[in-house]
Amino acid sequence: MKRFIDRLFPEISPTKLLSEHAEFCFKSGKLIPEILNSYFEGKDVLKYSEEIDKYESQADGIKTKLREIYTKLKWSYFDRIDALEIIHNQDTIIDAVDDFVKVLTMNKVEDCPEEIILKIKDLGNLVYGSIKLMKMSVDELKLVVESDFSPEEILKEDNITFDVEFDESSTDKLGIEIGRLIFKQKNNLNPVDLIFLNNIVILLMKISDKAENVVERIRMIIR
Amino acid sequence: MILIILASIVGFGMAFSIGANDVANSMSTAVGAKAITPKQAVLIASILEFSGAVLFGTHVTKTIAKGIVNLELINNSNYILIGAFSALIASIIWVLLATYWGMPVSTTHSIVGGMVGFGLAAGGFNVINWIVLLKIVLTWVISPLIGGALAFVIFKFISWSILHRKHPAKAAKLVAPILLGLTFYIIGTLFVIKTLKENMGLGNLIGIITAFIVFVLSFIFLHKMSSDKNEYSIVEKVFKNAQIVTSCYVSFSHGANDVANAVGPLALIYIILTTQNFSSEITIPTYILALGGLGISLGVATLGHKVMKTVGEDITELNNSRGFSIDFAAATTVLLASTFGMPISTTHTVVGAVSGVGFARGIEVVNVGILKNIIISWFVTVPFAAIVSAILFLILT
Repeated sequence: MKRFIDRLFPEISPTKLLSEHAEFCFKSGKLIPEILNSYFEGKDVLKYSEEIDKYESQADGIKTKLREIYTKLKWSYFDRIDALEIIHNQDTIIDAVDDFVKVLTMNKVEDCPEEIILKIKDLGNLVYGSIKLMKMSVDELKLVVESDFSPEEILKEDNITFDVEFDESSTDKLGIEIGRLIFKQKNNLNPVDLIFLNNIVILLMKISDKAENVVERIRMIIR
Repeated sequence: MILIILASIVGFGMAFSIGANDVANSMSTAVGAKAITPKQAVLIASILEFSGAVLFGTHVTKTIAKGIVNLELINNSNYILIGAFSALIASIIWVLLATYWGMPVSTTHSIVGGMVGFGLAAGGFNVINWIVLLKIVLTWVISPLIGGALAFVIFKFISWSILHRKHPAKAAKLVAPILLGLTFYIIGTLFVIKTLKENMGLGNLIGIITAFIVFVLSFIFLHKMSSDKNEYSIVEKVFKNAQIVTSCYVSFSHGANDVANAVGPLALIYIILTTQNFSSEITIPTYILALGGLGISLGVATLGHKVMKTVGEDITELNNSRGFSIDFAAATTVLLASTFGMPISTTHTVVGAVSGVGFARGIEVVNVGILKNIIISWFVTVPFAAIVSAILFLILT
């Protein structure tokens, strides 16, 4: 039985839960370059989907815990909606990585020009970089809270936000560039493969976009 | 003689139950923030609860024994003896029932209710010292608010002077000794003025000297700490050390206030039986306070460990800087109330202090809904203890 005084506090801090959840996003994101390498080497990528499924279910557990905290405890300085919005966006990153792997298992692109392969791999690295920065941003949020919103820590959080925004913009630029390269191959490649590759690029760009959403939300709530 | 022995056993039992149960609430933030282990908390509480009870316990004990009921108007020593005994028994019954039901029990409210019940049954409305009772009730409302306000101010001060500095670790090593010095200034000054009954000038002088010594010693100690880690980790480490001191402060203050809940009626019984006089100013014998202090210490030492361990495991998300603010605010509020002879609930003051740090954005999520339990406690405990005490009094007389 919980005692009177214990009921004042959450069992675990919401920012810690956000950070733990972001760790699963990071783990999923870390797989992206590896998945792309395996795919273009003609290896089976379905095993990655199983791994990501595991992360997804663990992340769901954390999401439930966070919801419970905000349902049971009455007063908090982060709006319940903000915290849930952040975790929802983080969740969509894991989902999007999972979708990306599943889409890859559906089709095998043959005779894809090396230039496009390299660019897609670069894009994968950039997306992974965005997720890594997003994780840093969530961890920094813990420090911002610990420091009682010290201007120094807020500045660090701002800098991470700028880095993520820069990364996202680079991802977009590279994505468009790859799209152009893909459609330039309309006379050489199978049309299905063209659309397929383009879809992969769009999915990767979306993942980066979700990471940026998380960071932007964090920036908004610490302001 | 039998009555003294019986009252001593019941009073000791009450003190034991305070030690076994209530002390864990007052030490919960220090154990939860991992400043001290449950074992260390038991050791600290065993010594400091006793010291607080003996050195500062007399003020509140006087209020419980003679302040609530106007004994002169009852003018029957047998009635007063039975009444004091009834109040003690009623209080014990309520504490046991409330513990069984898992309710937030306050021994302070129980004993005050018990004394009011006996007074009403013995002499009607006229014998209750309504002004004193009103002051007590007011302090019940005010103490969580003062605890909260003080915790808010202390945390904001820590935030401004340490957390928002360019080098928080360096700032913490200077500010923490200042706060520790302030702690000892308060204890030293109040002890000289209120317990030794010396003048304010001497009180301040002793307080300042004590504060200075503590400042220098803690400054030297904390300065030796390494600064090679993350700045905020060092800040928390500094406050982890400082919180050992404030956990002693909480324990000391708790002993000073709560010993009266156990020995207030016992002191009254003892004084009447030994002096046959209840009309003049009473002096609480130190050995009665020591008996209460011993009961609390024994309760902590035997059963307190398990409760403290549970509390420590449940409160996991509390930083030391926040824990320090809560402990400092709660202990100062309780000690001040003690020196003014006001029986207040340490647990409720801690709840107020936690909310204060929460409102200062020091704790991410605080269950302020728990505050309603405090109000329920006022409206349930006092009438229940009063009714049981009155019924017991009527049966025994």
